[in-house]
Amino acid sequence: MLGFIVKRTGAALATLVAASVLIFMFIHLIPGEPAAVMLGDAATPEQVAALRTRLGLDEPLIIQYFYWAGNALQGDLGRSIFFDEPVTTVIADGAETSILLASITMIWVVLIGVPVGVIAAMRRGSWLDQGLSGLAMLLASIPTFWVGLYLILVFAAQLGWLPSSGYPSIFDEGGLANLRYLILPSLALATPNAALILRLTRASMLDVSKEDYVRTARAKGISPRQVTVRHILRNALLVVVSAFGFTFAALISEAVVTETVFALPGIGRTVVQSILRRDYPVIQGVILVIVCLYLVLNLLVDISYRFLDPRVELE
Amino acid sequence: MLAVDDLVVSVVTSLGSLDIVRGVSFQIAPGEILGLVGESGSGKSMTSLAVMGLLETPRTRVTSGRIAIDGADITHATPYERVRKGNGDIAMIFQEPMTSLNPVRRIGDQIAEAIKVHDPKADVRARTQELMDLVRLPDSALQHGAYPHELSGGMRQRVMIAIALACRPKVLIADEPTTALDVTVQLQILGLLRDLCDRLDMGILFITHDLGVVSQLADRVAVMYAGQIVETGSVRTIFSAPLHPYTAGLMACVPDPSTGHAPLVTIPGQAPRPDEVPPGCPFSPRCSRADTPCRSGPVPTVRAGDHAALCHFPLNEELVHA
Repeated sequence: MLGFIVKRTGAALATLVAASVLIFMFIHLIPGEPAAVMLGDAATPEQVAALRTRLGLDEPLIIQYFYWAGNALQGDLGRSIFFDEPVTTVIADGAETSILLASITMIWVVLIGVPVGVIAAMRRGSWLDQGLSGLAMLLASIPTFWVGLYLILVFAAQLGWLPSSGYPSIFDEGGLANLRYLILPSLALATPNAALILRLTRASMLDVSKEDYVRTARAKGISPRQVTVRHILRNALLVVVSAFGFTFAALISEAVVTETVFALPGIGRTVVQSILRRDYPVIQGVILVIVCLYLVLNLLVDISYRFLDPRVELE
Repeated sequence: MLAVDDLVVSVVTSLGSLDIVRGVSFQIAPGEILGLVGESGSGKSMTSLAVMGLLETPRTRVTSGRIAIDGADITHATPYERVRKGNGDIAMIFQEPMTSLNPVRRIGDQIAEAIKVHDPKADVRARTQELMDLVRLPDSALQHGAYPHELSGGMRQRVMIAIALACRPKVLIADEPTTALDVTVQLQILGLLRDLCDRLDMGILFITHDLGVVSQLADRVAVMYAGQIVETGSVRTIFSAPLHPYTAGLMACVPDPSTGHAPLVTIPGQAPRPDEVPPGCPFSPRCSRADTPCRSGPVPTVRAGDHAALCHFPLNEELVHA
């Protein structure tokens, strides 16, 4: 088990190094003089030269990379040009919103996608299955911002049940009740992902139910419910669990849009604003953090897979 | 005793409803092994799944006939329904021991599950040990909570047999249980089945396409062709004097090592698909003895002692009595 974790962690670290090179190079893909682009048209040559020196752009490329990566390892992702604050502070400001939004979304995805997928599979071919599968297809193909706007229209504007925008921290006045600000955004974000997980769960359940060992289970004379839970679901979830890693990646890109629609102070919105402000150190920092999160999550998926499927070798 | 009477199994296809088992009848007495022989597509597996209650309903189902065990009608019952009514005493083992066990559950748990269905109060540990001894599984097979992928094919088939025996079956259905195994392992499993049949006084329906296996193992043989049993009788009489030309053709196909490198014999043509079964005798287009009466109308049953065949012009005609 330990060897398995070490090996997978090593692979993740190698990916991280490769990703860090790409992220680092990104600043040099800017046409022309990066410092001048960042500062905009109004900058004087002296300001450009000062920024060049501050960003270390005068050094050879390889030295620049080690300088940047070395600092990143020590938790220093540079300074934001716009805020004139450390990038880590800028990211930390948006982290609470984004982490809570992603977590609540994943809870919706699991709580809705998996059970409804199981029900659709068990009632295969019925009107219920066709209705649910059709609905899932529809919801999976609707963009999140559109779902978000509709949710705002119905639940915030018309019914007035939930707030439509913003998010005060749970550590401020209001406490955990402030989570209600995240209900609509997380539902919007969960909709296409839950629909995909629903379809995947259904398809996987139907695949597994054709397996020989399911026939063996039926032949034993155990109840249809036990066949489903003990033999079909357990194996069908193997596929679904591995999809969670990909769902998370989709979630991140969709969160950028959702945070904008709901005016949430999250990392997604920080990225959008930083792109508009050409605040490259922030963009680099955020992408690096997202890559790390993605790698950690997939590592966890791999490890949990080992517990779910004994055939995954402990090499 | 298992009694199958005039069983018809139909499958719904895009061409409409097709009969893939067409009026099959047989009995299996305690301690008896019936070999059900036929090519793929002859309906032998469908017959066994129908008896077991594992047809993929509603697409495939029993449309007429009766299946009974010790007089209790189990015609449309799934294994779950049979167990609840106290007729849980049929079990089945399958062709692919590699895929017939749940890969993510421990073998011990899979045996225990079968024990508990039939006797919730059973001492699972003692009963598991008893079953392992019966199928001659070494204790090491279950040690450290082994999973199926850690065992060989032969061991897995022994586990499958142990699971099947958990319900103390009166009849065991074995659907090509040795086809996927090495020859030496095949012989071990066949020996085990014969031994269990004798010791537990259990009937076995042994399904195979391999006449050689049948001659070693079975007491009686039923030969299936195009959804019908075309010949049935004791192993000795069928192998010494087949009546049906199809049976004789099958036996001619088994290579005889004593003849050296003689050309391999085959039966010309191929078995008809369920939607193309010819009128009259379904074997007539491939039969060298076929004549006008064979191509239309019902085919008579000819008998010689306990031996019966569906044929107008049987071989070994001198044995046939009216």
